[in-house]
Formats: sequence, structure tokens, C-alpha cells
Amino acid sequence: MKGRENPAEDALILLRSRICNPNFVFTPFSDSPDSNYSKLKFIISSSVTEACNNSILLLGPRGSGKTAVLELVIRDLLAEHADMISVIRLNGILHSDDNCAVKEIARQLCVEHQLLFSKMASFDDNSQFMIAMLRECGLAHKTIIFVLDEFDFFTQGKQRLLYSLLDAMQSVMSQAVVIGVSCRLDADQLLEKRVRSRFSHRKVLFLPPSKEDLQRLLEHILSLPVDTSPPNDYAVEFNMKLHQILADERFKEIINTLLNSDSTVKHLLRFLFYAVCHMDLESGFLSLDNFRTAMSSIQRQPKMEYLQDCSILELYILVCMKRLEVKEQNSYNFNSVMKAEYKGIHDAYQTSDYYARNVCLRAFEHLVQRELICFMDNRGNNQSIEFRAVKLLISSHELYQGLKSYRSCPAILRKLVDQ
Amino acid sequence: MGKEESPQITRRTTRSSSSTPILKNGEETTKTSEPHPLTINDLVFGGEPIKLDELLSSFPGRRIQILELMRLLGPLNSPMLPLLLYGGTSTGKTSIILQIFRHLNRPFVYSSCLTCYSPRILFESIMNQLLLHRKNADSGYASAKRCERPSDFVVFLREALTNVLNTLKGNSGKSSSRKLAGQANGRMIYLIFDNLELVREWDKSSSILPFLFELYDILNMPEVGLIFISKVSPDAYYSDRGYVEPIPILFPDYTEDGLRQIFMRNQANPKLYSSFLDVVLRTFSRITRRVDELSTAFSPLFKKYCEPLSDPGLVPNEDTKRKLFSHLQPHLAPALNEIFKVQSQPSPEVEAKQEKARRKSNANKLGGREAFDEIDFHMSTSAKYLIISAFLASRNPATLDASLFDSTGGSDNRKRKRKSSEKSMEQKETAEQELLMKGPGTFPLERLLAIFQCLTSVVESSLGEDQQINEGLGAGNGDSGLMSDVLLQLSSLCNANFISKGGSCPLEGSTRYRATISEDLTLKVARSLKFPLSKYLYRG
Repeated sequence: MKGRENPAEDALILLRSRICNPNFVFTPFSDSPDSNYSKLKFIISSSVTEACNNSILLLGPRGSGKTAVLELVIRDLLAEHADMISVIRLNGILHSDDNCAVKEIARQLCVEHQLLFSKMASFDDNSQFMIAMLRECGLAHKTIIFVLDEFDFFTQGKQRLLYSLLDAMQSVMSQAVVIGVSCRLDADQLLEKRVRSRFSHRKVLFLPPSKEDLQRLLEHILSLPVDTSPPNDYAVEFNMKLHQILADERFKEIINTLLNSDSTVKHLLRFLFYAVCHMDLESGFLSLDNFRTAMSSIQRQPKMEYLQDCSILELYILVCMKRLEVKEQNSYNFNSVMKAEYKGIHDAYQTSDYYARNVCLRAFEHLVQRELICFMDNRGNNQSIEFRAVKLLISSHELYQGLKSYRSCPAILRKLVDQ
Repeated sequence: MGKEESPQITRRTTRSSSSTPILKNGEETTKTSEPHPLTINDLVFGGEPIKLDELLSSFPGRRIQILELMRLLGPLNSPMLPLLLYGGTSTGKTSIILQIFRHLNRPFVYSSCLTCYSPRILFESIMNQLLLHRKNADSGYASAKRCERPSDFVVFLREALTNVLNTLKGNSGKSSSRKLAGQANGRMIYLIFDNLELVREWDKSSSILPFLFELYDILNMPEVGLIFISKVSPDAYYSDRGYVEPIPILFPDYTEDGLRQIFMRNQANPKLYSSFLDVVLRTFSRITRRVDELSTAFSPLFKKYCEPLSDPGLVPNEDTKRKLFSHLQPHLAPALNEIFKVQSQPSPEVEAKQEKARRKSNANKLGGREAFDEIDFHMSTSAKYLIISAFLASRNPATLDASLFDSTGGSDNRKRKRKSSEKSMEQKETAEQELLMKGPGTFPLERLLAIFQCLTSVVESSLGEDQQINEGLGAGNGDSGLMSDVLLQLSSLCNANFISKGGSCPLEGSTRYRATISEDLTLKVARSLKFPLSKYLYRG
């Protein structure tokens, strides 16, 4: 067994590291001439070689590979023109504050050019330093590439950073390329007038992969390398089994369902990661079942799961609230639920589940914790929990389904929801 | 009866206590008062390593989750996408992941958003652990690096992670064949963020929460694994900016079988406890299925169940079971209604005093500690009257005050004894409904003091001598000269959340108060003073 486990385990580790490595994943997209990779590379390399300024926006849903492809392009350009390019990376989540952003630019410039960076420098100092560096690099025919991730965060507030950057590019003798990456497709509409006039309206859209691209991607990620010096029988057999699965109609159906909800590459990668993790190490091969398990783990219904976790008293409270909603009472609180419905059900059906008020209040609090119900006001005006207006966060259909699949659900509850 | 051990409450060892005495290279354990400086091996769980079977058997009902987590964590040195463990309270999320890391002996950094309640504390706690920094008195308990903003955190984190990973690589290169006990496995390090749902309440949550979810992509280091633990499901984190979802793993509540297995662990007399569970488990799990609440409810009941038994080690047969059941049964229904109440454990002196007091006053019908009708904390008489006045002020409309609190101090019912027509019955119903919905009303301070004075002046005149007999009660309420005392009482009642103080509005004048005390408690207070509360209460 030990001899057999090792190649399977090695294969597993290899596949996992591939999936977690965006550089590897997006390499096959760099071949064709009309891919985003080629477009991007062309734009940037032409502005490097022609010594001019440029600005681009990369747009596309989250997880479609914008930053990954950009990093591939930059890596290749750095390999080609090593000392003609320097890269400054900013992220909108971290550096949306202008002071922070300019400080980070200055810090990265200092690191790049082996200068001493002082943490005490003010905003003016840093921005003057940035403009001076732009001028110097322009004179030395060196292009600075500014990568602004989460570009829409930079458009909040006064857009001082964007303006000073783009303005410096126009006025000073500089060579800079500003690349904005955003998942908002209208990111350029967020720019102020004066900023937008200095921004070229080049956009590169990242669309979901086509069917052929998808097939290539799956093969690229999941096939084991076979060109090792002692020929690896295990890898050959693995790839053969993999091809059988990929060609299977059922597998194609699974992939279609997966991409119907979210067609980005990242989503597919999560799915593949889950499937690969469940690879059977005893046999050492992927099977269709792995992909099926992965599919069911992605298709979760959290509210239904939480309904299954509720106790019977909590279900009673939910059904009472649903009945109040059906009676079109706009706002109700714990007191009205108790008095109007709960007592009513007990009187009508003589259930054994009639508990004291403090017990019901605690069950009510559990429901709030599970986020099956919530309060309609924020922070309650100092009201205690029994008086605050509440509403249900699940639909009647979900409640009905939940009760149907609940083990040992009292028949009364099902009947009440049916009405 | 064995000590009930709930498996969810594993002791999370602190860093200093988890370091094993078996240091590498056979160093002697230093017996100085100073704890030894932290090394990279302190980033593991420490203690005795456990095998997979032990792990699986110590968490009954969680086999699926543990195996899934093991698969997702993968073999040694395999990169991982971020995970999100979610499930209700006390379903074992934190303890299972920590025990899994104990089994795997891999280094990790644990931080909880409950104890680290602001971004700065969270960041600094992680940095302290990564930089192997222990807060001590010399540096004034300062953290290793001051870190407030996410941008600084990312820079420091990268540095610290690179250092740690280099050390780990060096360690694993040196002794690859035989790992010494206590040494960390592998070249990866894992960051665990617990109680993630609390981040939504933070001030900067709109930037911190997306930052934590994007942290994996921002760092872009495959040797780092991120694990999030949350009580709410992943769909509570959806935002309109979108985020890259971690891989979710559900920890559902325990089924009845799982609960039974948990409660049967570490029982001195399993057969006896099993027959006890047959009686109580099904009925109590109709109310709640949380392990912590059920265990607090079961322990006094089990004591009661075992009362008629002379030998606690006895294995019960059918007859004994029936006898024990009939002994327990009358206590079941009230226990159900008190299921969430955690009985306080009084010290023997307090119990003796209670016995004495009970012998003196013969009003106590219910024996034992289950005195449902009495308040079990002490309040001075003036505080009690203040509470009653506040309750009345909140529940009654202000226009009734004059008639209720006239010079005789009693309510005058004669005016209201009219035959109620149908319309006024409807009005009464809607008014009651409104009362249910609206909640207690607000009142200004002057009204409260007026009612208080009225009540106490009446009581003072009628009680007279009797007050001196009841020792142990607070100072007498007294004359109108003690107004400052009353104001002090009012502020302490506000602190105790019996009365809440609204903000002051310049249009409305002085601040308004609201009585948030529940009606049950007010009735108990009134009963302890023998005050006829219902006469004063406006019921529509």
C-alpha cells in the first residue's frame, strides 16, 4: 500500500497547488492573439517601447481572472524588458485613503530604487516625491506601471490620488501606465469630470470562458505531466481515466449546472478544489463521484439547513409568525406572536407543546441568532426584545419545505402551514 | 454520578502553557520564574499528540465533518483555498479545528474576533503570535508592532509570514527522518479567525470584512492557509460588492442520537444515566437542541432523579426505573418551564441563613431553592418602591395619575363601573393590542418622583411599627427629605437595566425614562412589599 499511496498523494498535492496558483491556471489563455492577455500585453509593451503614457481599465465580474492575467503579462514583460519597467501595486481595500495611497506609492518606489523611506513624511512630501520620481524615470526612459486593484474604491471621496497621478502623467515628462482593475462594469462612470478627461477610455472586458476554453482549462489543470524521464505509468493511467470523465455527458451536465449560477473561473476552481480533495487515495484516480460530491456541497441552502437545526418550539414560533404575516399584519412583535397565535394554537388543538413565556422568549432569541428572523429597527430605541417589531427572513415556500423534511415534525404544524 | 464533561468546552491552552517541556536538542527545563522565550514550535497546539481514532471518538456525531476537514486540509504541505466553518452555538467548530491541528501537529495562529474586538487588536494579536512576542511587564504589555490599518497589517504580515516560513523550512530540512515531539510539521502555516460574525458589528466592518475575505488573494502566498469560523451561514456575508466565497463546511446541530452519545460520555454509571436520558432527552430536545443549555438543565434533574437511590452505583432494573421515573415526573413539567434558568449555587452560609429566614416567616409554600415567586437578589425598600412607581408610570397614561393617586392613596373604582358597550369593548381590545405592540411608555423624572412620594407617604402612614421587625431589609424609605438618596437609587436602577434613560431632546425638555422591567419581576417585587399592584394598573 505504501508504494501506491505516494504517487497518489504527490498527484493530489500537485493538483491542489495548481488550483491555488492563479499564474498556472491562466497560462493557457495566453496563446491566442485575440485573448485578453495578448491585448493587454500589446497595449503595455507598445507604451513602454514608444515611451508614452497610457491608462486602461480591466473590467469583469469578481473571479474572472483580471488580476491573474495582468500579473502574467507583467511577469512576461519584466522578463523581456527587465530594467525598463517598475511596478507599483495599490489595492483599493487597503489604500483608498489618499494619504495611505501616496505613502504606499512612495514606500514601493523607495524599495524598488533602494532609497530610504521615512515613515514620518507627510502627504505633500510623498506626493512631491512621487512626481519627482515620475520625472526622473521619464528622463531615464523607464516606465512605471501603476496597478490599481479595486479601482472603484479609489473613486470614492475627492479622487485626489487619481487626479494627481493622471495630472502628473500629462504635465510632467513621464512615462507611466495606469491600469485600473474593477469588478464594477461602470467604473469609468464613477470618475469625476476632470479625472475622466485625463483618462483614456480603453477598457478590456473579461468575459466568462467559452466552451472550448473551458475544456482546455480543465485538461490543463487536471492532467498530470507524463513527460518525466522514467515513464510514469500511473500518470498515463490517471490521464486516461480523466479523459473518460471529461467526455462523459453527465460530467458536462454537472459543469453546465455549476456555471449556470456563476460562470467565473474562480467558482470553477473552488469546485475543482473540492472535487480533487475528495479524490480516493486508495485507488489514486479521480472519479465522477468526486465531482458530484463537490456539486452538492456548492449547492447549499443555508436557510433550509438552519430550519433542520431548529427545535420544535422554534418551529412553532416560526409558524405563528407566518400565520400573522398571512393575516396581513404589517408589524408584529414577540408579544403579539405569543398572545395572538401561540395561545390560540394551544387552545384550539390542545398541543402538549405549550411552554412558559420565558422559555418561548429564549427560543425566540435563538431564532434571531440563527438569522431566521430579524428585528425591523436598528438598535431598538432601548426597547426590550419583546416589544421590537420582527419579521421573517424565510419565505413560506422555504418554511413549507423545511417542515416537510423535518424529522418528527408535529403534524399540527404541517397542517397549519398548509392552510 | 460522574462529572459531566461537555466535549465542546476543551481548554484552549495559552501559548505559555502549551509549550512542552521536551525542548529540541534535549535542553533542560529551566526552573526560572521567567517563562522561556517563545520558539516556532509554540505555534502548534502542544501537549500530547492524539491519533485519528481518538479524535473521532472524542467528538461523537461529528465524524463526517472531521473527515471532510481532514480532506480539505490535505496532506502535509499542500496549498489550500480558504475555508469557512459555520454552524450554531456549541456545535464543536472551534474545538474540532483545534483538535485537528493537535492531531496533525501543524503550526497555526488562532485569533478570535470576540476577544479581539477591534481591527487594531485583531491585527496586533496575530502579529504578536507570528513574531513570537510575549507581552510582559517590562515593555508595559505592549504589542510587538503597532498596527492599525489594513495596509500596514498586510506589509507586516507578509514580513512575519516569510520569516516564519523560512524557519519552518529550515526545521523541516534539518531533521526530515525523525521528528522530535513537539516540533511543528510541515512548511505551511494556518491562520484561524474565530467568531467572524461579530466583525459585522464593528465600525469599520464595510472595509474589514471584505479585507479578510480577500486576504488570501492579496497575500498570494500558497504556504498560508486561512480558516474562518462563524456562527451565521455564508449568505449573511454577501455584500453588494461581491466577494470571493470561501469553501463552506456545515456543522449542523446534533441529532438525538448524537446528543445521547455526548451526554453518555464520562458517566460514572452509564446504565443509570441512560435510563435517565430515556426519560428526559426527548421532551427537553423539543425545546432546544443546544448541548450547553441541555446540560445545565439536566444536571439538577439528574441529582433529583438519583435521590431515592441509596447506592449511586446501582444498575437499575425495570422496577427501579419505574420508581425513579415516578419520583421525577412531578418535577419535569416545572423544569421544562425553567429550562433556560441557570440556578445559582449559593454557598453553605447563605443556605443556612435562608433556612433561618424561612423558619421565621411561614409564608413560603414552595421548599428548596425553587422559590419561583420570590426575587433572589436583594433590593432596598426604596428601590422596590421606585421600581413599582416606574412601572406604573410607564404603563398608565399620565392623565390617570390624579384619580389613581388621590389623597387616600387608593384607586377609586367607583367612577369606572359602567356597563361597557360593544364599541368600548372593541376600543379596549385595540388599546390592549396597542399596548402589546408599543411597549412601555416614557415618563419624565418629575412624574416618577411624584408617584413615588405618593406611594411612600401612604405606605409610611399605614405600616408604622411593622417595619422594624423585618430585619435584613434596607434602610426605611422615609421622608421627603431623602430625595438625593432616591436619585442615587434611580441611577443604579438605570445601570441594572430596570429603567432605561432616553436621550434628552431640547424640544421636549428634560430626559425621559422608560421602565424596561418585566411584569413578572414587578409583581414579585410588589408581592414582597405586600403592595396591591393590580389595583393601580390601568387595564384599558
